[in-house]
Amino acid sequence: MDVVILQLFVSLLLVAGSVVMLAYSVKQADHEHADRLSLMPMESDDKKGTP
Amino acid sequence: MDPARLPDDRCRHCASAIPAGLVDVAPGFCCRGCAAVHALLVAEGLTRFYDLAGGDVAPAPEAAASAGAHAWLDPLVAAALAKLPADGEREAVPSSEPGGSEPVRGFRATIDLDVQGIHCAACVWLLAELAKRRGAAFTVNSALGTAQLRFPRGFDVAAFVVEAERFGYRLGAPHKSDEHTPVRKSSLPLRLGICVALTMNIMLFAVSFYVGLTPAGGPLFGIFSRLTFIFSTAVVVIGGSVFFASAWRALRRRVLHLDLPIALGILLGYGSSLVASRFGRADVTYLDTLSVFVTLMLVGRWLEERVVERNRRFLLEDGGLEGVTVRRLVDGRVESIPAPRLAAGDVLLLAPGDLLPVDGELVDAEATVSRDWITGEAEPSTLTAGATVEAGSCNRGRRAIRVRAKTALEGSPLHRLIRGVAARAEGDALPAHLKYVDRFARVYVASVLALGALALAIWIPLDHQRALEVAAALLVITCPCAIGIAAPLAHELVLARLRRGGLFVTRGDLLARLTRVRTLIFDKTGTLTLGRLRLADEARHAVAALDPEARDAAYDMAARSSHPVSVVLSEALAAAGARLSDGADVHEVPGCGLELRRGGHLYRLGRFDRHAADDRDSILSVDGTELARFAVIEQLRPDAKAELARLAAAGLEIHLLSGDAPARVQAIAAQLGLPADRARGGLSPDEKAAAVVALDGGRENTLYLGDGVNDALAFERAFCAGTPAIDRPIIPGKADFFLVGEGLAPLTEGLALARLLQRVLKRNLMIAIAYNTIGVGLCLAGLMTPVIAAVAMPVSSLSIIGLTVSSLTARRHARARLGISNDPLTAADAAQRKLVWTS
Repeated sequence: MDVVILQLFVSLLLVAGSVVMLAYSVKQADHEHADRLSLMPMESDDKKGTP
Repeated sequence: MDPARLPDDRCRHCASAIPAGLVDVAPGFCCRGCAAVHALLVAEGLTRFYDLAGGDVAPAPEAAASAGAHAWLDPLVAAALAKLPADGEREAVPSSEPGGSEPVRGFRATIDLDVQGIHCAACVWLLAELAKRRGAAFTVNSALGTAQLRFPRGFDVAAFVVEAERFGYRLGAPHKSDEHTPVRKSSLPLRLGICVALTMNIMLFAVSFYVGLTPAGGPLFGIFSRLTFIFSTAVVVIGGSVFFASAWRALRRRVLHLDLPIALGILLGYGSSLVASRFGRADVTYLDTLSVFVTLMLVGRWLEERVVERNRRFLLEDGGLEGVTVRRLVDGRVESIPAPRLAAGDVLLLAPGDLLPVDGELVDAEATVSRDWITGEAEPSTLTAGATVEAGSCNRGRRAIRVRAKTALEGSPLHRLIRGVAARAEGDALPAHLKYVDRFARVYVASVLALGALALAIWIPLDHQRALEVAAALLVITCPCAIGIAAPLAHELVLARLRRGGLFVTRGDLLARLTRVRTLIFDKTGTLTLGRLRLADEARHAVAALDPEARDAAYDMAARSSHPVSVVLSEALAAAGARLSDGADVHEVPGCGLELRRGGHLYRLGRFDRHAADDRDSILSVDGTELARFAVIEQLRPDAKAELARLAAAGLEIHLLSGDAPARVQAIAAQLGLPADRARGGLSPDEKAAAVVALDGGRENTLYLGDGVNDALAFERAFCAGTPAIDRPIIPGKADFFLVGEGLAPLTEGLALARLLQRVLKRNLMIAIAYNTIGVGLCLAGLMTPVIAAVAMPVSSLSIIGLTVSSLTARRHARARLGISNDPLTAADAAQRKLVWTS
């Protein structure tokens, strides 16, 4: 039972943290920038794609 | 996107259907824009664009043949460079920035720009990569359609802007700002995010109640109950306040708005749940259902706000004529000033592509100008010193010219024309054509309130403790999910489908208005035609029949001229194997054509013979003897005839209004199979607008498609207005929608999908009424419990959403049917509708 309550507490902290980050992102007006953030280079930019 | 998997009739760039009968377009592409962009991407090694786009590439607009006006760049670049320190700290680009994966050291100036044409991550990557290859960093804010360019000294910003245009994007002065982006000012995204987070947690707690957690379950029940109450209170306050405020505003105006029963349902549901929770029974409350409902309704509101705003931000912000920048010569220096600061007598320097916003007098000996963005006519005219250069003219020559302004901006005829056209704004009140929605809403609201009162009247005498619970259950179960959730989703699906086809809607109520359209009015040049010329078939044969000497001579002349006829001819000659000679002595004879002395002979190309059959015929002669005649014709949009036939067959009236010569207009009408009495030429902007009013006749059923500023007044008079030209100022900002690509099929698709959307929405309403009838019966009988409501509401919402998605999602390559004939019409409309197709 104590473990469940502890888990509950940690989970709610994570939720609170997510909401705070959302609020910050909305204030910066980049909350719709998933496209841009997804462009973090994972591979060489010189890779030739499919024509 | 693997082109090997695409059928042969799909464009290799955007996967759109390739119209039949394409001319002068490389095989495998739907238009020259897509072919050009694809070739650039391959040549530059940027084909990763297709991998990032994931198959969702929109048709590419064709880049302008000549450079656009970039005078607006001068003050921005000058101001940015002025801020650079003469010496001092070096600045490195962070490696986390797209376009800056390697730290580049050097002084960096920064300018903010607006960007048009951003669809997805692939577009963002492409522009960043183009900048990176030139040693700059380009960061795009795709949410706002703005960007920031950071560049070192010596970086050619204008060249970068031109290169971006070659790929189908347009960069402009930073007019988009916080004041112009209502979505950014909205608190809806934050409210929605918070409600989603809280609601998901509430549902997790609710599941424990559903599977049997009771007060006997120990302290966990109490913890979950209290958290459910706290979180749902936050949802009601943060999310529900949107509906409370709207309902209160409606009540103050004495209007029965749909948000009223929503607000009442939330308040009563929360109130009764509060009472139950007070007695420690969170498992018999509606808190979880309410939270889900509030969150889903917020999703609908957010979609409504977002979907059209995205299309609007696709375009550059319209700065109007006041946003035009001109270069003025003062004491031998060139200064860039905004057009409102112009004064009569100022000497302006127009670089190639620059626009003249006022009437002027040519100072230089000769100039080549065109008024294509006013009239849509791309053919330039040659002026000599002292001639009047009309307001709205663009310098289409290869050198800068000097023009003396005759008036200030306020005195410009262009200013008077544009100032008189109001923006097609949307108001808060429902337009007349949405009366059926308004009527339904009023009936619905009144019915729900009456049923709530009936429930109280029935249950107060029977069991007054349960009366409030029954009324709350009734208001919760009858909340209009079909309208609040499925309708915005349906709009989003349709708009997304239209966007993929190349039609971008910029007014939220356009789809509703399109269902009323019965008359289509088209401009000619640049609308039904592509605004460019092509060689007639007999001219192509004439090119092929030329002997090599004559062919090379013709090519030497045509390739050195920027006249549209010469451009078309030089392309055909090059394709036939003509070779350019270095040092060819070509002279231009104003008003006639070109001369070349070659091998002792005098070659001429142009209209030296005033008796040419058509003033667009270009004649090649040697020593006075005609060798060949090259006729050019306007190039129709590849699917213009087919789509107009389809629209006419569906019962729509088609009209053609143009400022071009009546003979040319009739010729185009004949090519399209349009009756002569439905095509009128030689019209001024006021006459076009009057014709639109006459055709509309107060029925509010006209759609006007045009591309020039001379269509602005007609735009204002038409019920719906659209443009296929997004590379010009003023008009895209005043249109209800714009087209990208060369075909007219997206317009037909838009009309068909608008009707399909209306049918789907009506069907959703019928399903909602049926479901609500059952729910109301259960409530009045006292059989509706929170568990049943928690199951019934998501089931009904999901089923309506599922039906909506399946009805509006495009099957592979299928086109929506244009079922206009089945729509009920008045007797007068039915009498007017007649098939006008003659071929």
